Amino acid sequence: MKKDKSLLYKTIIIFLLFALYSCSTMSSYVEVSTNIAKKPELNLAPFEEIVITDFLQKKEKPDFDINKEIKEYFAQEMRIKTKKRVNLEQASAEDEKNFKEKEFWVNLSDKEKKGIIISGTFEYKSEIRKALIKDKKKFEDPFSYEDRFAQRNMYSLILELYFIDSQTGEILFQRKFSETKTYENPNQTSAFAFYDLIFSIKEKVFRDIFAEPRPQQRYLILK
Amino acid sequence: MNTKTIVLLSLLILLLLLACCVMYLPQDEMKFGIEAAQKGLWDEAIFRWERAVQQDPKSPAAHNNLAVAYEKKGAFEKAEKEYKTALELSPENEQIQSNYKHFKENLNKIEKDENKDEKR
Repeated sequence: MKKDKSLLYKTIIIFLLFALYSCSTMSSYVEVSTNIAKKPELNLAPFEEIVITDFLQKKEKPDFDINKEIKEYFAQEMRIKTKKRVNLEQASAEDEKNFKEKEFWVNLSDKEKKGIIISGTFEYKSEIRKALIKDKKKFEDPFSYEDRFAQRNMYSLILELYFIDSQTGEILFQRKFSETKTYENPNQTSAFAFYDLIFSIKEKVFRDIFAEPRPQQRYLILK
Repeated sequence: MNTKTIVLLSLLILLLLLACCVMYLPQDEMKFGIEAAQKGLWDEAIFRWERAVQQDPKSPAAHNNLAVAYEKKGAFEKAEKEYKTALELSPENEQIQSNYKHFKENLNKIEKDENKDEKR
């Protein structure tokens, strides 16, 4: 009986020691999601005006004036975002090599004003994808399946943007943005799809240029 | 070991356990800081955690939290210093390691961009 009691006490002591150890080593934390600041990739403050030129078209030609749409879309968005004067220029690089030719850009713009030229290339593709899928029969027997063709319209916009100093012709920012969207609606027009795509690309461009913070997870520790 | 000794020992350990739990209740400054951060009041959080660091310079938690707040405010140099201190004090802490890893990922991107600017 005495031996049993002693064993019980020893067990209690061991348990308490274990609890003491756990308590002393335990840490508690909370996870927070916060928008972390980032350094802007491009400082637009020194520039008096923004000049948007024509964009160089690659490959397929869409059924609407996509160059005009890109220019006007970015002109509007840049005007709102920067509160600067935005001019549209009817000139563009004839070849991709032109983007690296400083003189080409210096000659293109007003030398007295410190401006930033926005130009680039674009590629707009549309594809129809079909696949054989199994689907429930609608009327005869809801539990049996039939094969049918499913059709999806897929649109892709690849936009390579150049931000060029108008006085020096130097490329200050260059990046390729690509966006693809698939639509089930067979009546989806390429013009409507374009606006979805250009919006997504604009979000990415602004996030990089203006350093719009991104939500990130971090741990805050209590003890 | 007689019964008296064992009971006394158990009581002592229980007391220690209790003290330990009380001791590890979140310190006011740390708790305040976290509450402020969760509400988006990062300046207040920085103030609290700076005080927590002054009170206990060897607290990895205080250094970590301060680093997160500095990172949030864009003070990357200060944040890196605090992260490094936190990791020196508690190198095995997974939360600090995770924070620092993500911070470095951001910072490396920024440094790369700065190098690009210099080249230009």
